[in-house]
Amino acid sequence: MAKKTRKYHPPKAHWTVGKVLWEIVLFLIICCSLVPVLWGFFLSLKTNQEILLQPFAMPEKLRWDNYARAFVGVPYLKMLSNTFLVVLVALPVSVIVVVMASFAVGRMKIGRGRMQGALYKYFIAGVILPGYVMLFPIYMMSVKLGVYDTLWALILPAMGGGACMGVMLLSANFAAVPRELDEAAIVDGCSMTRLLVQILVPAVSPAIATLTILNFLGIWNNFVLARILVNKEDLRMISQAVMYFKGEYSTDYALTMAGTMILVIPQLAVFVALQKYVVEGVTAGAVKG
Amino acid sequence: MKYLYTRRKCLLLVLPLFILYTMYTIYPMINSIYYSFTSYRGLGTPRWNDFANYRRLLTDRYVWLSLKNTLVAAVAMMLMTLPMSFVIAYNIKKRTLRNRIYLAAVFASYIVPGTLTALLWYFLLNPSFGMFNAILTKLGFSGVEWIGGLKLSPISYAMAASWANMGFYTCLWNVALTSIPMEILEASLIDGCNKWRQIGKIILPMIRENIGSMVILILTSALKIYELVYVLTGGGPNHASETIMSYMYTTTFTAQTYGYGMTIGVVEFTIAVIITMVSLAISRKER
Repeated sequence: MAKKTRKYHPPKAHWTVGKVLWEIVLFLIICCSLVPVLWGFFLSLKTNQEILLQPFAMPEKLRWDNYARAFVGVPYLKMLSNTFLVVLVALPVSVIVVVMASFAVGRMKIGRGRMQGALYKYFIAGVILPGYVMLFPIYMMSVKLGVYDTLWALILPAMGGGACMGVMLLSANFAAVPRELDEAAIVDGCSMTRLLVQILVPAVSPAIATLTILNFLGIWNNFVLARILVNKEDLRMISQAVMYFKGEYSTDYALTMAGTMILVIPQLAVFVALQKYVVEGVTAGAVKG
Repeated sequence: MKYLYTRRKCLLLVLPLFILYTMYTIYPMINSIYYSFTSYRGLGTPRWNDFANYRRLLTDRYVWLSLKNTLVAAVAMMLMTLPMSFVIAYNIKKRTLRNRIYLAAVFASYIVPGTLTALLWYFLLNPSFGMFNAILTKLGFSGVEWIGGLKLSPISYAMAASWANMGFYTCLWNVALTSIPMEILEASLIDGCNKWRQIGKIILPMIRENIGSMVILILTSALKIYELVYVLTGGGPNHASETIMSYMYTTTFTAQTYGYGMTIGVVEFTIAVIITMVSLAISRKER
């Protein structure tokens, strides 16, 4: 009987005791990842006494009113609108500025490229700087500029913050696009701006998407900078929500948990929807960094 | 190329980012070094006081305490994060549905912002009604002082930080593991190597550089723990469980001794730079 030649298949996996154990271990570890969120959700539906006296008991009645109280007590909508204002101004500007600079640094070759090299090193030097050391000088600067306690104080650092990672990521991507495109563009009479906008930017668009997501997360999650630069209560950002839970409502645990869940659950939902991009973005950022 | 790129165009393109970056990264850096040599309390102009701040730092026991806390947290973070994320990454190499769900679950903890992570863990670690102590008392042991006491706080920070970063390091391990050529693994299996020896003798040594960079990342991220301290312990009973970063914040903004706070910041920055330089030197030597 003639047999067709087949590809080499590794031996078929079968369930051994070891494998079952590993499955269980893996499942437990994954569960550990979800436990804090689930526990928080569980607590957010109880009353304060239930939390204190019987942590493990099921809530008597599902107290959705905790959520209502949290929504009223913490000005989520105002904080969201503030955050969106900052993001709306700072994010496009920061991305555009980084794209321009990494295009100039990564792709233009003028003379022997020494200027590019020096500029590149200048931008990269900031990677090792921990952001926290600059808190106070940025604070002093915003006072001197007169923007302290306004939203501009938050917008301006956000525009300058993503520089290091952004330039590192994008200049490598820009440099990787083949040179023939430039030559073809010259032959076709294309100006530099058109070349950049209509050809190169689409070519590196995954990296630009990554940069956008990372910058957005940076602005959204930034707690310390937003706290010291803005004091007025109606100019707070969404990251400051925790201050209500550690301040006014610190003993109202059910409210705290409900308020936390109000923020966490939508973020998780958005993450699940955009999961592919976020994972790729973080991986790319990590590999380059 | 001469027609397309000119020096002037290049400089024009770089200029906006250059201005912003210098204003908000380079200039604050230099400024903070300047402030670390002054004593400034927010009124008037800063007064230059030579190395007085640095001498004070050497004798300030809270600095050494917070450094110790940071170190304990860093080591604990390494021990908790790296093995578990390796296990996860090793087992979810193929892109099956189950693996994608697992990856999503692990990554979900990474995108929760730091303050909310801290709040969630506050309700796990609280000695009176947190989940950990509730489980311990149900099992018959007495509760442990995870966050109110003197000793365990750095480990609590490490637990919360490891939980938050698990997805990130799983990704890093994934990248490292996929960089190993399949032929080597298959050859070793044919040669009669079992999985454990394969991991220990082949996989881990081959990704030594990646492991090195992960260790550096964890160490430098331990230097940045602030939100956890603020939410979980507020600095501990009398500054006992601060990390270097939170102590810098306390001295700078709470106590308003800006000069001294910047001194601590400069020291912390120097530590981070030294760690990075040492790691770069080691990885370069190995080539």
